[in-house]
Amino acid sequence: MNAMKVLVVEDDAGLRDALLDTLLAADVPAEAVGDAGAALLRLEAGAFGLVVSDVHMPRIDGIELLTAIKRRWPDLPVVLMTAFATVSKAVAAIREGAIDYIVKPFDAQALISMVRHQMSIRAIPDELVAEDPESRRLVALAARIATRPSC
Amino acid sequence: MNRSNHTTSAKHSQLKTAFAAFGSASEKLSARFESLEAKVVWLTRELLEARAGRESTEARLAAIIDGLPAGVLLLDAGGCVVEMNSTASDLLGQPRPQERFEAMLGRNVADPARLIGAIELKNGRFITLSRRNLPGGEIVLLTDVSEAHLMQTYLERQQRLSTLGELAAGLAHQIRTPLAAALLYASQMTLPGRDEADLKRCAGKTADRLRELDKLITEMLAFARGAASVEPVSVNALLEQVAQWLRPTLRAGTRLTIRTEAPDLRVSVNAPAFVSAVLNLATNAMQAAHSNLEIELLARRSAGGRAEIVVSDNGPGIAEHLKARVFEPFFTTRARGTGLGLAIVKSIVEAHRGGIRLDPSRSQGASFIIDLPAET
Repeated sequence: MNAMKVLVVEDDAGLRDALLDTLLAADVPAEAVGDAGAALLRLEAGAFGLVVSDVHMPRIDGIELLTAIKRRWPDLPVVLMTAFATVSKAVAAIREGAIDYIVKPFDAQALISMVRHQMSIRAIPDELVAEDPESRRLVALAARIATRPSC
Repeated sequence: MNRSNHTTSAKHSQLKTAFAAFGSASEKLSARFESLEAKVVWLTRELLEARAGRESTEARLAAIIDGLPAGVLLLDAGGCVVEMNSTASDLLGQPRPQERFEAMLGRNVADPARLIGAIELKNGRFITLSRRNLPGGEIVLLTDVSEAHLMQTYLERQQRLSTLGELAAGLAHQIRTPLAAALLYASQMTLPGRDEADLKRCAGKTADRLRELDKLITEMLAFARGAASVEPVSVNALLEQVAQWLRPTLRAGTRLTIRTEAPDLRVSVNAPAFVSAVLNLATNAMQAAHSNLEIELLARRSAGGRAEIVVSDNGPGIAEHLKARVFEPFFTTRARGTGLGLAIVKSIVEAHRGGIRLDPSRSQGASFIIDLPAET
């Protein structure tokens, strides 16, 4: 995994601290902000490998933040945290470009596994740049084949 | 002899005439007497019929008054009960000899201090009183409003429950947020490589989040329950109680003043609930990050004679577009706010037959006006 950070976006200060604390405890580099506006500013300034954002936030909610991120940084993966495990919400979020969603409440292990999984997927294109999704799949396949021990 | 015969005959004729006249007069008298007698019989019958009619009207009126679903009491000039119908005696029992109505009522009410609106009796019924002066006394009408009172209490409770029901989705979010944080800290303890200090810190953080959850649930229950029993209390004393709670928490540079424009103003409230409502408003004012913050608690009588408590500050105030929403449950602008504070304040004030509003004329800071029926 590279050194790119995870950006946590959560309006509740208590939960924001808990999320950040959990990621740092698992040696996952991370930062946390309290709203979508602060998240966009932070993304402009630094290199982040993943955004983990709450859906229900005052002013700009998680879905609107997701749309804004997809417009500006189409390759940046966004995972949404929602307290409402409704299929429609999840489908809408995936349609908007979220790569995954996680239902609150979740434990530390679930968060860490999800973040590590997403960051490891992101690690591959750093070695070879490809814009087209088909080419990207091919690069990923090539990388997997290359890492296998030869018979 | 002839002369003598002639004289006798004349006398005889006179007597005959006289008898005839007497006979005629006698017949006339007899006829008049019979007519008078018939009239007497007729008048007597009329009289009897009239008396019977009046007695039946009186009996009917008495039966109607006795059967009225309201209690009727007739008082003499001294205020003692002269007559009462059966509904009145069902509600208040019988008066003691020479007992005044006020004393009789006093024996029966659950709380002698609460004699306005629906009065609760010791037997669990609720009545309203209306009185009118009569020549030489007074008439008192007691209306049993127990069913209406129960219905009103039930409706108010239903409204609160229904509001609470609508909040279920918001609640799920509110409860899950501290729960999610607690779960993260608790499950962190099982990650590999945790040392003693990590475990201690995570346990402390878990407990903090659970306490936050407990506070949230307590606030929701207060909202669902509404206010409990009420008692008349001076508004000034209420504000003093608020100040007692508030003073130890004041930051340096924050000034708290209590102003009373009507020192004799009294209201009927559940003091702990009401003090916590006013305290909540004042605490909100204190959240404003403002140097030289001034908070004022003002007691005054409105033009309409109601009691008003005004909690104002010189902080940043409330943005125009948020003013209409501040009393909505779960509405908050603070990262750690539950958004239940002002909704609970509103619920407590309304349970006391009062209202709460933002002072629209205020150009700087925020000013909340609570108005309540004043005790006379």
